[in-house]
Amino acid sequence: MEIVENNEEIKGKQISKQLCGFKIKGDYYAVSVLDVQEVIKPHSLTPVPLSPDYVKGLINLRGQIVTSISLRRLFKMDDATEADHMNIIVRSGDSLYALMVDEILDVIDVEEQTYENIPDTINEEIKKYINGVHKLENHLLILLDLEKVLTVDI
Amino acid sequence: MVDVNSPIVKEFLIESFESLSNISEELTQFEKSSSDSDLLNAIYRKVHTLKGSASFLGLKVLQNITHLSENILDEIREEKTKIDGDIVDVLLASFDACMTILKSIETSGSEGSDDYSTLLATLKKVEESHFSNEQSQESLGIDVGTVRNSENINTQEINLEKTSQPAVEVVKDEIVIKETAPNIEEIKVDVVNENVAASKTGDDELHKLRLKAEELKETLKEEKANKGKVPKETVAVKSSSSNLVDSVVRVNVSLLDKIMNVVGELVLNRNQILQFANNDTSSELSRLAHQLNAITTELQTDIMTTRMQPVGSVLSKFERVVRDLSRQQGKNIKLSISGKETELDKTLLEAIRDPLTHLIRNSVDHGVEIPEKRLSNGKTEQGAINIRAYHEGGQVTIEIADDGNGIDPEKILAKAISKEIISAERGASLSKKQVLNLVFTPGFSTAEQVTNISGRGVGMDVVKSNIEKIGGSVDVSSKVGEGTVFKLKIPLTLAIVPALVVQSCNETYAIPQTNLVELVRIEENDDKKIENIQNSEFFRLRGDLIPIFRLDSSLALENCAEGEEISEDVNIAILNAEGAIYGLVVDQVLDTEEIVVKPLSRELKEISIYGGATIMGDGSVALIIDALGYYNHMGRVQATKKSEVDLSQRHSEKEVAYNDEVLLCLLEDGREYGIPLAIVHRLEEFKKSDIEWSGEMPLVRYRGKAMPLIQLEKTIGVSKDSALNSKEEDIAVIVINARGVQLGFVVTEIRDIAINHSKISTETSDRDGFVGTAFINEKTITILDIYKIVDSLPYGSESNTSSHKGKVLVVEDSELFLRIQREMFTESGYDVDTAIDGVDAMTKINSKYVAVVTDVDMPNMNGVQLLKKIRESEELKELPVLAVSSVVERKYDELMNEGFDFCFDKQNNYKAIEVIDKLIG
Repeated sequence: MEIVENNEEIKGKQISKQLCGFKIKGDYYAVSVLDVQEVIKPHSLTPVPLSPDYVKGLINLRGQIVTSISLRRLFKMDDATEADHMNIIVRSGDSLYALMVDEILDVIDVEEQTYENIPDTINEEIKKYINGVHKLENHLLILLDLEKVLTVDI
Repeated sequence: MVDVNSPIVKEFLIESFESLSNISEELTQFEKSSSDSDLLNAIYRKVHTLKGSASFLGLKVLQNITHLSENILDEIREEKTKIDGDIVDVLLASFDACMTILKSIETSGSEGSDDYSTLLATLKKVEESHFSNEQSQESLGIDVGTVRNSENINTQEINLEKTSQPAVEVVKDEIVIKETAPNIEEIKVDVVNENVAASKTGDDELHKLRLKAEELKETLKEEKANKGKVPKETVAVKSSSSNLVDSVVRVNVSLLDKIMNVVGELVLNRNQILQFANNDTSSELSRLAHQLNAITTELQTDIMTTRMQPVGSVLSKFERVVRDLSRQQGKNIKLSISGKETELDKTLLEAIRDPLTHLIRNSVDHGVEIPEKRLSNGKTEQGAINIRAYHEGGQVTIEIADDGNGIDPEKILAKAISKEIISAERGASLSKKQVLNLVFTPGFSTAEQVTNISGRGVGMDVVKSNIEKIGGSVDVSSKVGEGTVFKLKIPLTLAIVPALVVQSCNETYAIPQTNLVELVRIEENDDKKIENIQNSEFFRLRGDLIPIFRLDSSLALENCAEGEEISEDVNIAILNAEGAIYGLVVDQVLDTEEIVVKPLSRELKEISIYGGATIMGDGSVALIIDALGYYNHMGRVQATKKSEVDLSQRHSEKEVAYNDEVLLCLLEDGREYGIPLAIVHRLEEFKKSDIEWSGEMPLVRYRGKAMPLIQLEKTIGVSKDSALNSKEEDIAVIVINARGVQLGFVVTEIRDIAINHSKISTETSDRDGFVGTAFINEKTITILDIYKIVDSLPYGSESNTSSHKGKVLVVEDSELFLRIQREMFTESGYDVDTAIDGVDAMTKINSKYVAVVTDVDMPNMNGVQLLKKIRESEELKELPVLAVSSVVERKYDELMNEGFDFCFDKQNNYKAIEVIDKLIG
């Protein structure tokens, strides 16, 4: 009995990860909490003419310029950006980005066992930006690869 | 193998890099002034310390190299050897090797696998060849060997103390030191004694050695005494500089960058608070806000200063570069550097290092000739390269001048045509300056023979683009046979720039002030307008046809102020992107502001039209337009064919461009009158309440003096009304200096500046005060004769033409301007003859004149051709020739290079008089 408990504890420590979950068009996505600097409400945007369509504009976040990226646009979905969308602020290199998502979920603890590689049949537009899928109790959680999202070729 | 992460090794690396970084310069310096023993001692000490540290860390190769170099230096120090080029070569090579080894240690922890046996052999050879002359080899062997040992220990001691590492174990030859730092005092003496004991074998030398040991003990004591003054914590080795070291803290640049960023944010925050406080009536808040303002400004300046470094740190490196290159090429070149203390932001300093190196290499390689050629050209054998750094107009200018062969524009042009960089027809139409600037075109190389130093065609274009990347500019001027000057202009700092804030479609954009030439506003019912050539828009700006782009449509801005009434007025910002002039139509021009440039994220950097983003006073983000990037972007959008249309169009346009710029103003009789712009001093607006009366004469205070106001209508008798009697609160006044007084001419409205393309018909002048009429913008405009008008007034000082200073020949094709110039020179006491072009001038010219003042653009024979003719003539070649042009700003250097004695702007005739006064006086 004791041994089992210990095992579980060790297992938990080794493989449990904390993810920041969010929703886009009804689907559940997540990025590692370690990549997230903060989550902010909609902010006034300065559009950048001639930029790729998924770049929604620039945000002044306490004096820092943040590039706002619409994940809906990036995933080639309809761009029904709601007024109450949320921005997940992430840092990549020297630049800050705000990922526009529909809704923010809680911090989710996931374990290695629930991880699954990218299913082949998943939509191509999304496939190139993701790492894998976590099978949660009620739904699937798609794990975004930030590196891939933020190094899109224009 | 050493552990790079250990603090000792880190300290060793930092210190060694630091001392090696300028040792080459010091050595070359010493080579020049070999009497400077302090300098030599400094070099020696550095090598010595390095050797000590190397042996302490067990870095064998490094130790061997430094050991031999130290020996050589020692001999020079004791004047056993005289320094010469070969020795310096070898020493420099050894320092380079040390640098390589240190770098390898830094990255891999090992000394690297490079083979230095040749270097070592050369070092040994140099050492021995000079050594053997002195003493017998044998006795010296022991002596030197032992002393070296002691010295090693000496340095090891220092190292021990320095690092204060307990239980450091040093193994060196048969001497073992095993002690902790605090006990070094005793150990030192012991070691010395042991050392002496160990070398007893050479008993003949015993006495000598004892003496040496004593000496050594003394030095150690001294050193220890010095050390005692230094607090235990400091890592200072050089006792002499201990105070300095105490007051200096080494700070990581990335930390400084971060502080700079935060200060930038603070500045923005302050701007917002100030804006808020200004709207607020609470005096306490605005007091606090202003206090914050003052503090922030001070903080900002201080932080900026921390990033400032003297350019000398980069420029000094070129001593070595020039020396090595010139030796290699058998040239004799003296490099002199001035303005080393001029300071520049660190990042900028880094950015200009490579471009500068390239330019210097170029000067050595292509510029200065070999001694034989110089002598045959009547120059001194030694060539000179001068680097000059100085502040100028809020920028740092760095000039690299050589007295070499200069650049031959014809060769450049021929090369450019053969390389198909430009077409022959296009090439023929280029000015000398433009031709010289072709060297900055990618793929251009002038060296007839490509050497390993330069001439590979990459370089000059990279130099230009690198300098431009940091907001600077490069300019080249050259005289064949006399030398070449490269002029680099570099902004003081990158982070904060003044910019023009504009709006299009309610979006705010910032345009760096450096690119802005002027602002033009075309009002709704204006005659001037934007013209079309095959869907490309153009605008005539005083005779130049410039392409026009619309910011809103080029950026595809949508939903632009639909409901709002769009004003028909057009605002054009005339921009200069590295010589390409174009106009940018914006909806609104807001203000100029100091902006903090923030870089854009990776994705957006690809869009070349933006130079970054900034945060405005209200907290919103604004994009910064990169003038060059925008122009290139637009160039890609527009077909190349169209741009050719542009060029040919521009050309024909230029030929008909006259220089008569006329200020159009409206008087109370409802008609427009013209005043030659050249005599207009300023345009001002005064409040009616500011006007004071002295009897019947209206006056205003202007620049600390009472300035009479002239009511033009009454004076020239066109109307009884005057703008002074109108209902308007503000009065437009044209300030003119004439006949030695400053007068304000009251007009109803200042309309525009127009160019007179037509001939002024003087027959139509029906009364005094009119020059005649001209046909401007499809209207007949009466041109006022300001001088006549002033003469008719009681203000003008009595004509002082009595003092005859001599005869001046004024050459000018514009009738109007000729008239103005004649009046001005006459007024200043010169007799004036006039000519309408170069050909006319040549028939009139003789040595009786004291000076020739000529226009540059003229039909038949232009100013430059006239100058050449004058200079060719034996009789006239000393005659001062002044150029007058409306484009002096753009062409000053070019004109001065042609050989004019002075160039001045059409707007600035008084300057010319001053200069002539000086030239003949």
